[in-house]
Amino acid sequence: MTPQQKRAWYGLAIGIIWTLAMVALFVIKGATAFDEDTGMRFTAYAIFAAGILAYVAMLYITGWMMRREGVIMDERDRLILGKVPVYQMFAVLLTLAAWMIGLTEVYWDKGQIPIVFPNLMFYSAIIVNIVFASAGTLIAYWRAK
Amino acid sequence: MGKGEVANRIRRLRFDNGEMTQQDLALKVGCTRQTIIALEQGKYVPSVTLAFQISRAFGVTVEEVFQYEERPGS
Repeated sequence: MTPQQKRAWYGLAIGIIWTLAMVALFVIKGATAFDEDTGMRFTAYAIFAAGILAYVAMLYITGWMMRREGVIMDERDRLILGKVPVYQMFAVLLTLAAWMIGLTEVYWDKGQIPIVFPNLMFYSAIIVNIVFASAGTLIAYWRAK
Repeated sequence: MGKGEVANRIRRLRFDNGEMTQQDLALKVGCTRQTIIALEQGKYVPSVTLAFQISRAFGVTVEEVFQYEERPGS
């Protein structure tokens, strides 16, 4: 396993915990509570910010450790990592397409959507983007084998 | 020109050079051991720069390490 793959596993673990925390909040409190409960809104903002901070901290710490250990990132690694944005793009596009189709079908008659959904669309797009930075790395290395 | 494959004699040359390990070769040329493994298994074709670095690590020409083989029927 290359250092980039190890880093991707750490990123994936953070992404999964982050997703579960966000899903748990909305399942426990209910999506409609977002409109009425200020505390829940700020909890969602806090979980979102904490996830990004944890991911950035992981990148910084692992990057520092890799530099300290003199880990090499060679041309094959760069070639493999160059494919990761493709996986990220497809994952984000699929997420947005799912939201678009789901919300259109559910709220077609009402002609408008609750304010919580633009927030959820934004959170999910960012989370999926970050999760697939890690998952895409693992897939790209797996396909290069 | 049809499609072909780039074969190499890295494994043979490593053993001819005092049973050099994959890690030793990787350190000499500045790449990872995983890249040497992928090269030996024919799953990765190196850049021209890396090909020259590998051939110099063995003290031979690029053609002695890498061979272009045209696929039959292509």
